[in-house]
Amino acid sequence: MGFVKGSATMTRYKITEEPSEGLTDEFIAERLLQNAFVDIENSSEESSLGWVEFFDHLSTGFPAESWRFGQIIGFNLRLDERKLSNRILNRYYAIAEANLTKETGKKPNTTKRRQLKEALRADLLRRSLLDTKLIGLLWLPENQELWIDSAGDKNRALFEELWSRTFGLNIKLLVPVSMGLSILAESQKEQLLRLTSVPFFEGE
Amino acid sequence: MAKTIELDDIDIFELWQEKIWLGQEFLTWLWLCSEIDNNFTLKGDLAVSVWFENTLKLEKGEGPAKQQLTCQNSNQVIGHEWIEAFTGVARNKQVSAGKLHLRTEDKEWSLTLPADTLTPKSVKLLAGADFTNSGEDKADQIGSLLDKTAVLIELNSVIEALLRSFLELRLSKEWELVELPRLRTWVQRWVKEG
Repeated sequence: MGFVKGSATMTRYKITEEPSEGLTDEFIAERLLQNAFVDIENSSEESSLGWVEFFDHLSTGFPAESWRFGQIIGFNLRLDERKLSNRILNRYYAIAEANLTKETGKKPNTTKRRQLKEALRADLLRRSLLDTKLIGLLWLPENQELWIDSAGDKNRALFEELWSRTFGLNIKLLVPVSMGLSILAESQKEQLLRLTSVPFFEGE
Repeated sequence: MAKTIELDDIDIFELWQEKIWLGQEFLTWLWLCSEIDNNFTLKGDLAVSVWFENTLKLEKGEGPAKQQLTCQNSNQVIGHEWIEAFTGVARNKQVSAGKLHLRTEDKEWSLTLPADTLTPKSVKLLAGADFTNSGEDKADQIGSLLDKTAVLIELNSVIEALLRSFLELRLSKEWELVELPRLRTWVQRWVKEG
């Protein structure tokens, strides 16, 4: 986990909205519990996305001491996924269809073929191994910032989806232009919005 | 009274794509300034030393027309380390990512800074405190997390102070009249000598 061990990588967001009831322990714990990660180890679900505790990605009890660390708040996004390629599904389907045809003496109709494929898909998904992704999140109320220990469009989209579903508070990605708008004087913000790129060198 | 500009009123993703060059201009400026004099005095008398090492990525254009150049600082001749990069900048390529060191009075970081986001990657604290060894004990882990967070907050504030310094210059008349000619003269000198 980048925020605790090893070198850190991060994506930053500015939180631009406060919860109407204030940032209370109840507000945070209730929403974490409502959107806690659900284990799909013994099911045929393809994926599960939710929150787990910061220092224990197997726990979803969320007592305050698991997410409040002094002035900062932390928890993890967890995504478990199992993938089944069409190539593998088609391979098993071809065998199952041939066996059924042999048993019944006739090719299965469209409905039967669909049922057979769905049953096979559920069975193969249950037997395939899960892959787990964890993204650490730090919430810094004093700085009105959120950090995730990850970069890249896919992870960002995954986090933004779960954040929005859980807390519904507006956040804005901190990139050069939004950082500029956060740190410049009011009179310079309009200038920044109008600014266009100018080559450092003429010619070329 | 003029309307204030709030982040909430802006589609940041769209604006980010429109001004994706801003981070590149900043990194190019930061790299060139650090080559001329690596000591920066920022707002609030914050003194920061900046130097780039190893690898510098430059690019120009977008989509299929994009040209990229990765320069290794392997030439041992002092002053000639970045000839390829200076040549690239003289052809209007800009720095898209760099590995750099930042040093303040009591801390030193090494990090990779991509121009598109300006959020640090692979951050290591080289001086100031040790946040790499968190024990197995929960209290140790929390202590390590708090220390590391404080150090990263400080790092982000240094990057923002550098960005502010660049933007204030970039938005002023001084950019065209003084800063760009100064940078051009420096680059052309190395390109000619190289």
